[in-house]
Amino acid sequence: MVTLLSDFCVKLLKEMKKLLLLSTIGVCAFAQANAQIPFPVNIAPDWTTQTVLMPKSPLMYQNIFIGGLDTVQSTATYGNPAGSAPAKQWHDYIAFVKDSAALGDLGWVVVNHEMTTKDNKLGDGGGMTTFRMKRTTGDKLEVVNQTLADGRTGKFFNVDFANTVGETGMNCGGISKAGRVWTAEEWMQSSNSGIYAGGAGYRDTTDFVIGTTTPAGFPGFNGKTLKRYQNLNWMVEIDPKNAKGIRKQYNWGRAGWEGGVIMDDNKTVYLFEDGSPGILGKFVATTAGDFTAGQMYVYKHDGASTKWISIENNLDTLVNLNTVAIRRGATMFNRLEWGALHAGKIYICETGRDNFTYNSGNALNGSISPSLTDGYKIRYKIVNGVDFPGTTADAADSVRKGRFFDYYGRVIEFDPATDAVRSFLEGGPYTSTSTSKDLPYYPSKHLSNPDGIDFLTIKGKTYMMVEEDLNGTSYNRMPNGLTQTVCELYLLDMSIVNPTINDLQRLSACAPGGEITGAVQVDQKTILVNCQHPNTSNVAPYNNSLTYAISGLDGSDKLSIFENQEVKASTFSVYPNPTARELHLSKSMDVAIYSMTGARLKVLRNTQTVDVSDMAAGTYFIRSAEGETLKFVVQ
Amino acid sequence: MKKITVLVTVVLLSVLAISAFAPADKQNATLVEERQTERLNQFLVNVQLLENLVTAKAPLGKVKEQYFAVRIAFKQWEYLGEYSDPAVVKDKINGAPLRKIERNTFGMNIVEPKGLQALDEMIFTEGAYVEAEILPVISELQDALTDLKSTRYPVYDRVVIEAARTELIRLFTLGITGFDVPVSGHSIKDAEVVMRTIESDLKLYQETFAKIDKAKAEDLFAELSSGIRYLKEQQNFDSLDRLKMLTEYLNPVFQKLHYFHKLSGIEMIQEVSNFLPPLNLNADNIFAANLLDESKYIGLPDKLNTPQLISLGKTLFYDPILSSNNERSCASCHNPSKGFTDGIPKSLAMGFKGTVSRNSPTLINCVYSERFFHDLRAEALEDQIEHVVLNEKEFNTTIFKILDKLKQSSEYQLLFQQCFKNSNNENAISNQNVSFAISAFVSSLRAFNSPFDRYVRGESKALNADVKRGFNLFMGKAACGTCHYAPLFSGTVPPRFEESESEVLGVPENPYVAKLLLDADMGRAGARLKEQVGFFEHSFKTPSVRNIALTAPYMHNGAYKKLEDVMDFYNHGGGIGIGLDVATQTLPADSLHLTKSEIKDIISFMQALTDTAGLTSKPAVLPKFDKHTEWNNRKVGGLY
Repeated sequence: MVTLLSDFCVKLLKEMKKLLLLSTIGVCAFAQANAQIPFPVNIAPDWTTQTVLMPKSPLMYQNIFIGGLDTVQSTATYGNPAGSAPAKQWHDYIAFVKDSAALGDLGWVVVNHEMTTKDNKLGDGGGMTTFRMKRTTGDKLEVVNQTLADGRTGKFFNVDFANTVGETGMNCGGISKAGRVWTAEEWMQSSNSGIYAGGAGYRDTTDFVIGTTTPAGFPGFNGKTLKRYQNLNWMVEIDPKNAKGIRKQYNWGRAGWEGGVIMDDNKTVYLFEDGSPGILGKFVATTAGDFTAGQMYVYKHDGASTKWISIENNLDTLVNLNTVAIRRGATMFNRLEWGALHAGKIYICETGRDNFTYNSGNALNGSISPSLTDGYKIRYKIVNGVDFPGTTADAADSVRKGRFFDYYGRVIEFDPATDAVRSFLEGGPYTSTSTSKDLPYYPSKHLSNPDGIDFLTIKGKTYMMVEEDLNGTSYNRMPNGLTQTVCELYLLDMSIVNPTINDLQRLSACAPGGEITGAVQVDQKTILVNCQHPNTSNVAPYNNSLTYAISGLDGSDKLSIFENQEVKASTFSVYPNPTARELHLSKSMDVAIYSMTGARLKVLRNTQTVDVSDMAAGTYFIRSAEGETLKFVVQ
Repeated sequence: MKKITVLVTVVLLSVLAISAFAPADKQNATLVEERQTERLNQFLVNVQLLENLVTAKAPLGKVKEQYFAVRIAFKQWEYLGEYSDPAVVKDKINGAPLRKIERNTFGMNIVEPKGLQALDEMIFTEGAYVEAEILPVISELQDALTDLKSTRYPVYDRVVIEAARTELIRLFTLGITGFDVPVSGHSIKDAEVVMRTIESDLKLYQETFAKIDKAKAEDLFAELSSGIRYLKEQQNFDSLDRLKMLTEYLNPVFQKLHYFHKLSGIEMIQEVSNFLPPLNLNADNIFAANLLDESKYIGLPDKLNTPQLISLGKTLFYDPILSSNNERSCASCHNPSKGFTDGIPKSLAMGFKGTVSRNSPTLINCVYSERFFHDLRAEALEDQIEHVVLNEKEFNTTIFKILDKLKQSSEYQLLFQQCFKNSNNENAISNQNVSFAISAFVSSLRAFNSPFDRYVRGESKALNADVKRGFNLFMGKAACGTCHYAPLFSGTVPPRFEESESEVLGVPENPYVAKLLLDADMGRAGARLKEQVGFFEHSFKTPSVRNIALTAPYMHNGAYKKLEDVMDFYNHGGGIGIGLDVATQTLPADSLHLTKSEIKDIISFMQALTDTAGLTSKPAVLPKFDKHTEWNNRKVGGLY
């Protein structure tokens, strides 16, 4: 299904979160007595001649691929003939493989499905879908009909794992490099009965022998037997153009891998594990481009002579990589998610976790990541209003003892040149200068539980795209009183030195309950984004996981946060931002929105931004608590 | 001239409002926010005192006394604290004392019980008090509260009123039922503290309210203080008259606060958020039919939810063409004359080959659920439909086959085109539109006009004494209301009504034989990959007891034929109480000590929750097929 998003859908998808925030967002600029002045229910509608114009958004939103509704083509599986079935759900990673044979051709898109379930046609477990896109008129995208080498014809194709490498589990993150794609099977499984799930999960629990399926053999491991659950939780290479698995990357180790990065040498692979403790892995191939032979390592930031612990290429060791690594003193992170490379450094999301304990890792021998020690110190200052008085070792000790509730997570920076790790952008509802004496209300810029990450370069300017997957709503991860999560996709201009949360620019938000993920640049015009597992009670189609495109990024300066169109009243100014469909106010304040006839529509308190994305084209008034009114026109 | 008049009026109104809202130099909401900050401080200080006593190995009596002090401090903080950050209360402060699976994380991590309810059990259960076990729980609660102090929650006038109204529902459903004090039984004192706190904050608005309607404002505060007095006088949990609390104090206050909110000019939630929760604070009564917004539970867009679509859904519901043999419809197992159940323990399977694995649940009010099926495996009504379609014992088909069939009927094509005008003729009959139609119909099966509802809303004056006694037992001594939450009387958790619960009761395979065996069905633990844990074994969704008079036999396996037998099972303390070995029973295993006549009263109350008015008609005819004329003889509702 390819449809243009109506205004209604744009509202839902793009800016949902701010709609919720209307009453509550905003940095508290006034110490006390801030507002509570009731805005009259009706006003006279013609008090002002000052008009703010909100032009149409330069961005176009388009739904490309909807789980559960779009039909994917399947291979013959479990004795069932090749055919079609509704696509799997829970879209996570997106890989884009450029492949332009003709004008307008863009290339192949591969989408991970994290949902794990039985399926007679698509194969049990998680999955992937691949399809090919081209650009038609304007910036509009189209999924094109294809016939694959195996004869399947259609638009969307199920990546065949069941007949190639064995079923996969929870296909979440991935790696894409030079036209090749790997998918990460995140969730560590520990028993066959667990994956069987009473017949609802993986129904085949017989042993898996490596090398007996085509083309899934692996040099050095062919003929070795794994228990079925042990054939899950590897990185898996796939062929995006033929929609088939190629091989499970047994030599990279079995862990809760969530993402990875392949360096420009096409030899060095960094791998990130979603666990607490989660590890950071490195693989160095002997020959560039051949990842079946090389050396595997895990990271130990406080290693004496080297920061990399060697892991032998032995299947028994590799099957239990996390335990082996931590026993050998590996650095313990708190849920690493995706990572991406920019200017020689790797940025990784450490998403955080509410029920955070390293008891199991402590018992083995792990050491606390410097990123967490950084996070602990930053929080300490916010809570106590003074710098952490102890040493770094003291801070690490507090983290080790479970005295740090990592609700918000962070983006960390790893420098391959020095092998050093630090917190790059600490998540949370705090500004960089917050302390307990001056805490903000739920702020307009707010990053919690970053998960997906990639870079976007438009007109020579590079932005980090960082995507939230909220673990919960408590502690201001959502504004006052809301129990549904709304996750946002933020941009961060990488030319900013020492950025803070205040530098984030919101590009999109996901429908409630969903995780916004997979953001990947297609070209100068378009990025693709996934909305994963939104609430099934959302208004359709946002009750299913879906892949959507944001196009129009090549418009002039469309990513700058303010358009230079200030309109002033005596006590406040308004700057319209058509990209974000927001009115920015000159300061945090209380405002109300009135209709053309003077009826009060909305009241927003302690806010510096007014979302108008849900407003029908027309004339409105915005009124300050002091009673000053400006007219604004939504085009 | 006209403009000037309007201007003057507006300015005057603003000035009036400002003066009314600023008794001293501070806004009311600012004062309330300061009070709330202090309440959090007191809560934390009391938890620290508790820790000190436990650490110092003080006598248990002292510890209990201090635990009650903690509860009072918590209850003072609760109404705004819960409103502002419900998740932190559930996760860390006052969640049910049960093990849970950690939400939204890698793998499957079990979270041990924490917070006040865990403490309640650890301190008050006979012989359970162990200092070393209780200290980590206290310490974690302290950490949670300390972190709260570094998180700021704004208080606005709107928040005060909406939080207070939400708290009235919480107090009625989770407070005076004893829900959150599983062992200590402190619930009546708790409720009194809550009402006093709300009263003290609302007093700040007394003048404002009085300007709107003096008599009504006086009534409001009189009802609040009478309610408080009644709770103070009533220290006996079993004899507290919950019906009186509801009809004389809680509902009147709930209604009047709404009235004053509307007329005060203070903004309401729909002006600050486009994403409204299921709980509709525009309702005037806790038992109002519009207390919950059914559209918030389904994916069907409002603009498509038309009477035409409901009618199409109803046609599909009764049409056996959906099944592979054209003999079974949804109504086969969900018969309207039996409250949309089928009257047999387990529904018949396709082709009369045995039965499906469980009892058919009622569909009336089923829309108000987070998850569906006895084992909670489906996330939405729409998913639930798909499970039935694919099940070889039910419809034994695929959605594509159904679509192929429906497309062969020009009558069906027309009906779909009328409902989905934006679709072209080709795709009006689609996977999504079929499920939209059926979920439109199923979600229209709502009923809140039982004799009991009408009495509570003041629409009828008469209610039999046994029904009143039964309600008070249901919500009090018999503890039914601590799982079958009012006003749905189902496992959808108030006051937000966003979550469906399941319980492990220990239901036997057959209660009418000498040698009882635990029913082998694993429930939740056998259904979902991420719920394969011991504490979900034999765990089943808590159904509504509304229309229970029509829906025999009972339980997930239909094992109990009569309500008397069901009540007897509960009165014994569930599976453990009748001698079964149930490792993770969530139902307390001790006897409820209900007398025969008390059981009779509870049944009378449940029978007064019957209402199927307007829901039970069937379509007279089904759409015709142009070529397959043999299909045109199919029976409305199916053969079986």
